[in-house]
Amino acid sequence: MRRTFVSLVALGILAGCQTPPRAARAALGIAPLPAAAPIEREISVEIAMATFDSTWTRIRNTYYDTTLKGLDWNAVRRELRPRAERAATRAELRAVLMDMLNRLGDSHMTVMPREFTTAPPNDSDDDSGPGSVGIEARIIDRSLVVWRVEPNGPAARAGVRPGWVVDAIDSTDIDSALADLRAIRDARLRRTLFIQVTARLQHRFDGSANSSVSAAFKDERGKLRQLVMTRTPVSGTPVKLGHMPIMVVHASSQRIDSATASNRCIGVLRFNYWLPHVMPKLTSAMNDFQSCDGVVLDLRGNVGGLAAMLSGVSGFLSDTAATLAVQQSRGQEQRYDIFPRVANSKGERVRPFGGAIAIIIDPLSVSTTEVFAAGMRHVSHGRARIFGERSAGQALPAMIYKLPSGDVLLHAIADLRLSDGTRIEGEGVRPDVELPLRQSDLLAGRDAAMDAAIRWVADWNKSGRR
Amino acid sequence: MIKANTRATRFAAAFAMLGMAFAPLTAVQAQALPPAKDLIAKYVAAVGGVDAFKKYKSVRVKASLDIPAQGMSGTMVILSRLPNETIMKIEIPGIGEIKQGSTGDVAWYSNPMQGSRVITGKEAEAMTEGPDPMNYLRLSSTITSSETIEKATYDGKECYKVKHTYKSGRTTTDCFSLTDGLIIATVAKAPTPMGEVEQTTLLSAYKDFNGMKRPTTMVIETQGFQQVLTISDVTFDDVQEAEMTLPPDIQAQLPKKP
Repeated sequence: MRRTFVSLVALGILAGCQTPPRAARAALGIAPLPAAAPIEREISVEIAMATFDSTWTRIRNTYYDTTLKGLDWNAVRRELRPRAERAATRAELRAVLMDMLNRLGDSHMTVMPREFTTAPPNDSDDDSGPGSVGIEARIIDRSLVVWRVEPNGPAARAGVRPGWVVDAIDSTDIDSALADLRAIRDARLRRTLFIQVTARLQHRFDGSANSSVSAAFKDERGKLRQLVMTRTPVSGTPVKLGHMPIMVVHASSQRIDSATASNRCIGVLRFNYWLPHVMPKLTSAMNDFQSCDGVVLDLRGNVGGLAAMLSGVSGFLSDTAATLAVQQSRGQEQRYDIFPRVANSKGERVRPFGGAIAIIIDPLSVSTTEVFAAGMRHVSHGRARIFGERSAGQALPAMIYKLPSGDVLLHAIADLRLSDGTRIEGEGVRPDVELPLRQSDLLAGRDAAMDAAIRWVADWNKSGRR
Repeated sequence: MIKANTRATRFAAAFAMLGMAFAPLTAVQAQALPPAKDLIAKYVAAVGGVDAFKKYKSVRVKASLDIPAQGMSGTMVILSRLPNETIMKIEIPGIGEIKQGSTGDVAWYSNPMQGSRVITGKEAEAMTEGPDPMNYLRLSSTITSSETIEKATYDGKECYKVKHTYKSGRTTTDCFSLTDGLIIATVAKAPTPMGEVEQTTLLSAYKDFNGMKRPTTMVIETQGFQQVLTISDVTFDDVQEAEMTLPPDIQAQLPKKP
C-alpha cells in the first residue's frame, strides 16, 4: 500500500474555495464533473445520503451564524440532495458537499478525502515515511520559482538553487496550471486558489522517502535542466492528530550575533504549524534570545494549526495578559488571551521577551498565523511590526468531524475578530512593510523581507525603546 | 485554525459538576414537582449514603477519553485528597500531557500548548469544589439555593431538573432520574481559560465502588461536539502526598513566603 502524505493546504483545508468555475477546477487539477453518473458505484446510495445528511445537519447545528448567511438551508438541501443521491464516486459526492459548503463563502469549510486522513496501517509494506527533495517553491509573477533549498538535501546536491524556475515536475505542466490560475478574476477566489495551487504543485515534490521525482528547471541563465532526485526522509516530525492528515512539523531557530557594539543579537524563529511539537524548540530558542535586541518570527508558509497555541506562543513575547482575538460561536464568546510565561519547567522565574518583534508573513501564512501576527501588532503598541506580503485571509476557528463515507469534514464553528473588532477572514493581514518575493533577489541570494526585518530590529534597539 | 476541544478545564468542569448540589425548593411552579431536598435525599441514598463517602481520605480515578468526531482519544487520571486537593492528568497523542489541579489554596493548569498558569476566579472555584464528596452528594455548603424547575427527558429517560445557585452566583442544573433517583444529566457553564462554555453532561453506567455508586460513562456535549469519558477504575486511600506536589513551574509562580 502506498503511503500518502499531503500538506493541509494541498487538501484545501484552508479553502473558502468557490471551486465551480472551470478555470478554478483546472488550476487545482480537479477533473470536470461528469455529466452523467458512471455505471459502477464506488459508494452506496445509503452511504452517500448519510454523508450528505450528516454534513448538512452538522453545518445547520454548529455554524456560527444561525441565519446561515441568510441562506434557505432547507432549500439548499432540497436542491443538492438529489445530486448526492446520484453520486456514484467519492469525488462526485465531495463535489456536491463542497457546493453546499461554498455557499457560505467561508474558509475552513472543506471535505478531506479519507485516503489522506487515515493513518497508514502498521503492517504497511511501505514503512519509508514521508520524503522530500528539500525544495520549497512559490508562485512569483507568472512562474513557479524555487524559494528555499534545504542544505545538503537531494535538490541541493543536484545543484538546484533559489530563484530557478520550475518548468515541470514529473508530468505536471506548471505553465498550464498557472495560466488557469491567472484566468480567475475574483480577487478573493484567486487568493485562495493561489494558496492551493502553490501547495499542490509543491506537493509534487513530496512523496514517500526513497521514491524519485523528475523535474525540469530553468536556471539563472535560462538554461533548461532536467534533474532526477531521490526523496530522502523529511527532517521534520510527522504528527498525526486525530482525523487530521499527517503533518510534518518543522521548527528551527538561528541566533544572529551583531558585529557592532550597539547591538547584541537578533533571534530568528521559523515553524510551519501551530502544534505542541514546536514548543520545545520555541522554549529553548526564546531562552537563548532573552538578551537579544529582537526576534524575527518567519511565519511564511505557516498554514496554522491549533488555535490554543496562540496563548502559549504569545506568552513568550509579552508580559501583559492582553486579548489577541475574540471568537463568537453560537451564543458563546471566547477569548484568545496572552498567557505570559513567567516560569520554566525547571521551576525558575523567567520574563517574557521584551525586545522588538518582527513577524514575516506571505500569502501562505494562514489562519492561526494571521491571528497571531495581527493580534501581536495590535496589542504591542509598536513593538511588533509585520513584513512581507499580505496573508491568506482565512482565519476562522473550525472543528473536524468524520463523515459516514470516511471522509473528514472541516467546518468553521465561530467567527473571529481582533480585540478592536477587525476581521481577518476574507481580508488577510497587510504587512507594515510590504516586500514581495522577487526572483532576482532569490538568484542574488537576498531575502528582502528578512533583511528589512533585521534592519528594523536593529534600528528599534538603537532608538532606545527596549 | 483548529479547535482541539481538549482543554483540560472542560473535563475538569465535568467532574466539578458531579460535585454540585441543590438547595431549598422555592417558587410556585414547584408545587407539582418534588422538592429538591427530597430528590437530593433520594440521590444520596441511591449512591450509597453520606457515611460511605466519609470513609475515604483519597481517591484515584482512571479513565479513557474519546472525542469520536475528531478521532482523538487519550487517558485520564484524577487524584484527589480530602478536603480539597486534586490533580488531573490527561495524555492525548499528538497533543501531550495536559494537567491541572488545586491544593485548595492554589489552582493551576499546565499544557503543552499554553504553558503553565496559576488560575483564579470562577475557574479556580470550580476546581477547588471538585474533590469534596459533599459536592458529589449535592450537600455542599457552597450552594445557596436549589429549585426543582421542571420534568425533563435526557437520552430517553425522564428526570426532574433542579437549578442550583452557588455562593459565587453561578448556576448549574442537574436532572434526577424518576426511576432510581440518580443524576442522569447536568448542564452548566464551565469556566475555561477562554471564558465560559456551556456544556451538557449525560451520566450513565453507574457502578459500585466500595459501596459508593459513581457514573462510569460521561458524555460531555459542548458546541455540538461530544467527548466521552469512561471510567475504568476507582480506588481509595492509595494517593500519596508526593503525588500531589505542585509542579516546579507552578511553584515558581507563587509569591515567596516571608
